[in-house]
Amino acid sequence: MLSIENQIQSLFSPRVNPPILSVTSGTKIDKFVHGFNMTGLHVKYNISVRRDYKTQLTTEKMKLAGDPSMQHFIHKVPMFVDYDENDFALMGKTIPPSLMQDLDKTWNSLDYTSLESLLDLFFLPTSPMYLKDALNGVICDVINKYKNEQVGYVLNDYYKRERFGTWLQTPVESVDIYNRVCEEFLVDYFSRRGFGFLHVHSRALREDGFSGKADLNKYFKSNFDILDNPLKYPNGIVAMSPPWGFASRSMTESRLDVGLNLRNSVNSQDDDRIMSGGVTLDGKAKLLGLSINASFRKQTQDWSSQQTEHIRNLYNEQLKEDPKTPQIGPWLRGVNIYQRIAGSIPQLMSEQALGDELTDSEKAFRDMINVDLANKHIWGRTDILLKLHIAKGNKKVESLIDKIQKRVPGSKNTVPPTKQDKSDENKVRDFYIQILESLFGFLVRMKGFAAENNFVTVRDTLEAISLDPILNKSMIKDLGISAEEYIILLGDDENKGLPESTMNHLLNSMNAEAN
Amino acid sequence: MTSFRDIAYRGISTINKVNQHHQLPSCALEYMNLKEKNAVYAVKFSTDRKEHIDTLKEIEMALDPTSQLLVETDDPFVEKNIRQEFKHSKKVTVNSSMAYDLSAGNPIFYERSDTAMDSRTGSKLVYDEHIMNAVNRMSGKFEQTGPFITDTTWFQGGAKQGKFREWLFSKKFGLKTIVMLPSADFDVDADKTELCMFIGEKGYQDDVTVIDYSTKEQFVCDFRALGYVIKNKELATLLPAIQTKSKYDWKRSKIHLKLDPKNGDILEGPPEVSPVNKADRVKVLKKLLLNQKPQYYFTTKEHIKDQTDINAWRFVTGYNSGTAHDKFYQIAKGVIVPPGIAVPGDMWFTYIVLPDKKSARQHMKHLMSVEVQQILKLTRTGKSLHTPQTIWIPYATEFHGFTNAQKSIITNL
Repeated sequence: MLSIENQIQSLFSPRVNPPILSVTSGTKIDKFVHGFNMTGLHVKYNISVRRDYKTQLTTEKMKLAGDPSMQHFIHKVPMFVDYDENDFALMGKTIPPSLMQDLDKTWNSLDYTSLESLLDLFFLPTSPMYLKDALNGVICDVINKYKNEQVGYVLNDYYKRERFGTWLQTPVESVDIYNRVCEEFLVDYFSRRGFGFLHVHSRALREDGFSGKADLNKYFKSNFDILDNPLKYPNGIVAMSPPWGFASRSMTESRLDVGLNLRNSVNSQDDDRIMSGGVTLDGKAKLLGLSINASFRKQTQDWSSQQTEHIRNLYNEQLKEDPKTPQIGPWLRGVNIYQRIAGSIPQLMSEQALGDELTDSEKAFRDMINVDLANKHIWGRTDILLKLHIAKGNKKVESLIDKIQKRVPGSKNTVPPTKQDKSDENKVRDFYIQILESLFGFLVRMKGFAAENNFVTVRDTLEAISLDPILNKSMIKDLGISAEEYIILLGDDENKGLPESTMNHLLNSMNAEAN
Repeated sequence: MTSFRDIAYRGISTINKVNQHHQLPSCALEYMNLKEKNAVYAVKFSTDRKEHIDTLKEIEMALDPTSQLLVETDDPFVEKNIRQEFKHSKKVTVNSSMAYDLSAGNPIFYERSDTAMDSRTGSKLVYDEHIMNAVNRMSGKFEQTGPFITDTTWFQGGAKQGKFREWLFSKKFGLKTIVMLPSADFDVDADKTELCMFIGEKGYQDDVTVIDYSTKEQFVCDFRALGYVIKNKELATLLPAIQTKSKYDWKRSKIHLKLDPKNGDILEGPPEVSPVNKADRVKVLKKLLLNQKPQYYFTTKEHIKDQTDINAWRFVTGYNSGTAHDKFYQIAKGVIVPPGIAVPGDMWFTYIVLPDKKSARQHMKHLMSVEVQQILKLTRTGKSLHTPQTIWIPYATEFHGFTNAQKSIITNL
């Protein structure tokens, strides 16, 4: 008799066979495992498979070794693009103020001038972020990544894509606005850029006799066939996500190559639309699904400055190796620059992984230690620090704090550091790391409470803990300080305290792992 | 590489260490019969690191489909973390009043009182109560009790643990097996704390098996008769053979003394005074130094508030070892104090009372001998010197000395 895993495998399509997650596969397996467990019927199902991630290379080797479960395997390449005034200047344009503020508002206000500027960033051939160049660049990167491995990609099978499909994700929720923005602006805009535009018009659906969800897939495919006209649309097709969720979910299509998210938020379900294997619009083999999230730089998460700096450093390294490296632009700030360092194997990274890399790096840590050893706000709250459950005895801690306070700029007793203070400096540094250990360590403990209540910031979580006497008491027992005292150490706009954004990022990434 | 994530995981280890929360290791599964049908397994849990929760998942997966896992925890945050991790599970219940058949796990050690100011004060030992309650609540379906996790000191000494130890040896728990764990894999100071799992069988009254989990070596001994457990096979044979009726009873006076570490000035305690007359003056022991003569000073009688044992011969050593970290077990410094000299106690010195100078010399030589140091190295568990720390040391004046065979065993330990 087949094992339960094998029974499941024989029951479902190859995409979900076997129930082992690959970082490069879509969300379907996640949903499957979740749904499967929710039923509670199949008690023997091994939930640990949810944690069994395979690297791209392992999966690729399995595929080449003839593993049937991997026949539909394609790479998922997440990429993020942030843009600023300079990027628009490269195209001879000025960025409209609305695009510097809020993508959601731009779409829903039907501001076609701003929308045209935004779309030009991706669909104008002279743009540094022209999607066709991006797609071909990424294909090159993936193949380069495996060039020293026995995976046997032939560049010409995949490269030089001429026509491709784009899944355009927008924040438009109203059917009325969706219909208007499509008819009044997008059909014409994409036609001018050489793309067929596919949208799901509810009225047209009714007129064509489609009445339910089951018909949508057929409707979508038939419309794709109609628009698949190289003479009329030489660059491919853009399909725009409709404002009704179930329609959107019917639109998974092998001919879609690029997912372009032009809204403030990210919907992970949309990631799946571009992940079907098969034949592309121009008849090439499909190697990957490219997923792009875009936003104005100041609107991105607050670690973007570190990220930009890091990527610029990488760019400078590349420039040293190869003086012909093209000028930095939004394309270069995309993820792919990350793996284009000369002399190293290209490495594709997800936005999340890059965020981890940047906020979690030794450099970021070192920077923070250097800055915060002079942090007047933290060292001014010795009353709180002394309560923390850390390994050192209180007397030693008091003496260390005394030494630190003498070094905090602007304090009354500031004394210039001398050579003899070197060992003390190390002690202070170790002590600070111990403080951070306790405070960061408590994030591990409170992450379940944060997840339960959908809190995404440490501050929100602590505020809720402070209102719950049982949790607050338990926190004092575990950590030594109350939620209110922790919040004080976080600081505020005027008094910078702990690295709050890093802590938020860590809290969220730990919860993402758990889920 | 140091990263914030590393910092966080080191931090939760520190929090676990400070609160003495020892995780249930996944090797505990080897000692649990998880294949019983229609059974409820209760696991006391106090930690929530990813790898700790993975142990619960392993238990869940190993269970028979008809059985359930009940996770019980006293920490509301740990409870929420476990609930999140098992939100899709039909086999795991967290903190419920449901009846269960087998109990195991790592309950909290201390319950900190509301008035506690830091990690070292105001804590009440609750570990024993938790385990006794857990075992008493078992349905009777299983004979086995545990495995539970604790540090090995519970089996080696400590008056407070005595009652609990008796209960473990009794038929109610039926201590049967002790598994010594590799401390380096746990959130403890590996050079100071040793952890073990202990497993019982209700009604069991025979020999106890000690297993070293790392080497898989094991031995059997009648520890029930001894009242303690000794983790080392050779010592388990040797120590009962050298026991004497009398034990060293370490005492401390209530005289408080605090010195300035920089210059040795007396900050607190009996002040140093120039004596007006000999009849009024009292000599006070000030410092014990390694391989040097001890330091004394003079004060007056009015400043000696505690006269206990002041007129006896005593052997005095430091209450805290004061030697190198890895040699904390040694009684490295000591002095024979004749009657009339005050010995500050509190956190400073500790002493044993002896009848005369001759026996004092005999005890001093014995306590500072290589053999005794070696026994202490393997049995002493704390830096401060209390009576339980030397329960395995034979009393010099009742002891006929180590035989050559015994010396050989001790040397090779």
